[in-house]
Amino acid sequence: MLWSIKTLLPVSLQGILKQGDIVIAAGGGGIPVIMKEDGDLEGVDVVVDKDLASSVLARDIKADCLMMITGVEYVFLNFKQPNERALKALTVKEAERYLKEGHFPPGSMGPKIQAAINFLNWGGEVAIIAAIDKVKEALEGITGTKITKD
Amino acid sequence: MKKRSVVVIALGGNALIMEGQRGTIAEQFENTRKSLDGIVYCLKQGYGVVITHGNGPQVGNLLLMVEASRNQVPELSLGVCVADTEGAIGYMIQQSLTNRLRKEGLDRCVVTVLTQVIVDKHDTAFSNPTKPIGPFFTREDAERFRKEKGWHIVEDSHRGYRRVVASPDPLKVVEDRAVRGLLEAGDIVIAVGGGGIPVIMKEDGDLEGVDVVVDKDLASSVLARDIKAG
Repeated sequence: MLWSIKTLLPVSLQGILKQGDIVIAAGGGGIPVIMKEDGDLEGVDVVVDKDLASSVLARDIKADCLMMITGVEYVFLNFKQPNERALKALTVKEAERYLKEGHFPPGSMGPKIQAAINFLNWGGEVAIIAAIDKVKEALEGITGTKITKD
Repeated sequence: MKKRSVVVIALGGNALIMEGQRGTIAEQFENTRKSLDGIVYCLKQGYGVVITHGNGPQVGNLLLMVEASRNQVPELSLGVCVADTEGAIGYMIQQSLTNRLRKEGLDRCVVTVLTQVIVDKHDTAFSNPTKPIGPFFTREDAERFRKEKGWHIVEDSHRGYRRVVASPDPLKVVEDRAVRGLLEAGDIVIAVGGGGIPVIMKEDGDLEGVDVVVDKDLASSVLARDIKAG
């Protein structure tokens, strides 16, 4: 797995956020670059996961909440199995355990859970995973999966 | 604190793909790096800098790709093509300038703002499209696109048939406040690439993309006015 180490523009983003603008950033995970020995940036033919990139950006602009919008209303254990169970709240420890147990497939829920864990370990307050049409309800705590430090 | 003077620097689309070049990404990066001296000079003089740029050759190539893949992937509207090239060219300038600034000992961020530019839907240019864009078509394809898409297509001096679009005057840059905010924070801003993404304002105030192109120098002048450059 490739990790985004840092985003390049956190200060700029904080500035325009402060004046009330809404910012679109890290699209598609951001444009991946490496830093060469001499400090120059250079593009590389890889892709960065957008949820992991979002967690790095959220850390660097000191966001309070990382919200990941997706096609399902909750994070599930045993997803699409007869014993499927929706998770309404998760701690970092639980999330790490379930991730290790293989509940969250790579390329879909896996990176979202990892992004939430990273963000909270870096000092973020709360991460929320929710459905596209339930954002309001998720922020009100009615639906969605809320992940916190403990 | 005294307000810093701001310079808007417009790079021609041909500054990034030179006469006779194929326009590979390596060539475009190389040309971008060569175009930075003036910008660095302005920064060292203490000016705030906004960079605008053309996208003629780049959007031309993108439209060729759209045409070549017509039956494989959904078509991109002209506005989306402009947005794509604003992003791609913005990236090349961002990275090249970031690298250069580090060597010059200037600790500044370079940010691209995707910019929409409002045009007047009653602009007389709409009834007289003159700006050729994209690939040459055969007579049969030209007929078909006229019928199916309502495109204006003209015969281009024996080289084939080509789509023409209107080039109305820019009235306002939608994201000018973000540009101003970034400048005030000391960032270098890249904006209105390719003249900006043309939009009209509908009766209800909503913005909507239109298949026209805006001249980048005219768009730059509108942006310069609205961020009070100079």
